[in-house]
Amino acid sequence: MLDESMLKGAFEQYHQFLVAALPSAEDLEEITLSDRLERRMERLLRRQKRIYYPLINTALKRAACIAGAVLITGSAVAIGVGGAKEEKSYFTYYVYDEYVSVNFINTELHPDTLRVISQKKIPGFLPKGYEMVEDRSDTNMTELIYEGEGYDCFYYAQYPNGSSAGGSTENAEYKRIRINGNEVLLFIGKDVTQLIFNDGEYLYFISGTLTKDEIVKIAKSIE
Amino acid sequence: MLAFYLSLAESPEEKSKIEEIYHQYKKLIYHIAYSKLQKQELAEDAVHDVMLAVIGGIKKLQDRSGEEVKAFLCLVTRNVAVDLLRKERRRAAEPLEDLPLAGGLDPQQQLGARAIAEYIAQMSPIYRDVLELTAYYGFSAKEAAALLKITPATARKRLERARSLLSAYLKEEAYVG
Repeated sequence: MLDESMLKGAFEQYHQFLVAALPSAEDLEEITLSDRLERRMERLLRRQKRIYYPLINTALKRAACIAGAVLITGSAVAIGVGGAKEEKSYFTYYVYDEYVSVNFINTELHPDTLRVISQKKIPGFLPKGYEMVEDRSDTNMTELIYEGEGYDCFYYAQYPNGSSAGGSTENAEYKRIRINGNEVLLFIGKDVTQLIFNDGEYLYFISGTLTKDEIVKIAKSIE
Repeated sequence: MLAFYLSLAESPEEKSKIEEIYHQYKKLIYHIAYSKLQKQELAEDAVHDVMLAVIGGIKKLQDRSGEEVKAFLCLVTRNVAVDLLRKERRRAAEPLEDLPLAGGLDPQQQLGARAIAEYIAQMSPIYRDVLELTAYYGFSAKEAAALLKITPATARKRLERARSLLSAYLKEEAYVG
């Protein structure tokens, strides 16, 4: 059985050998990195300071404790002519310890329906000072990142129907509001605001350092 | 199911540390990468990819000494460079070489940390790297796999092999001693 403390000590000594063989700062003085790299690194370092970085799928990790599952029937989404009197979609809440997961279910969606974005929709309204800096979209999702002044930023995503999205309730209040006739989940935290809704065709998610008014205006402008 | 969560990520201190590491070691990372890749553009791509690894592993590096950070950067840069070479569809003419050790190894063989250090220095990097990342830097096998661009299963196998090699070496030394 290996002695772990001796192993650590061994690596320390190995590191001494290794580092002693590395070139000194003076030796490296002549190296000039290109402007291209410096610009690229500047963007990366700036972006890693943003609170959305990393925007990763940690929801399942955070959802270690399931406090309960609540099935709530959402209001009808008018898809066909003449309005809908029957419910064509509903969403479920899964209430985890610090997190709420929302799943939009379209009752008319055939299980074999190809989940692709056939019509890319983007926000028409941007708060002052914001611009789109990255487009990570593909056929299965629209994913855009916007940056504002200082460290302000927001993330916008459009997913095929049948997708689900999670909003965080940690240190945040959440409420249900209506935008353009659609029921919307709004999460208002100390530093981050999130908004999720389904218009019967796609699921939309917006998250960022936005005020409630800004995020609602962005959601209203999606076309 | 797509589920995502906007994480309030690293602390301000960790974010500063990342910048500090970049500005202090960017030329070193480039130098190591260039020695493998022999192309400026690729070596600069390596710098970017190494910094991505640093950002991902910053929690394990936050309280490390300069020497430990340098050693980590050497390890990651070497592996990033190999990965870039693979992507460029070049095969290394020779197996990965260890960085030369200044002054050579102390020829005196003895048990304990020094003996292990010597053995580690001679160990194949494919075993040493995963052992170093887990046993020294505290990464899980899965995190080490991500840094080394291998599957978690491969990382676990290599780790097991590394430990088994080291154990066998120590047993042999004890027997000889």
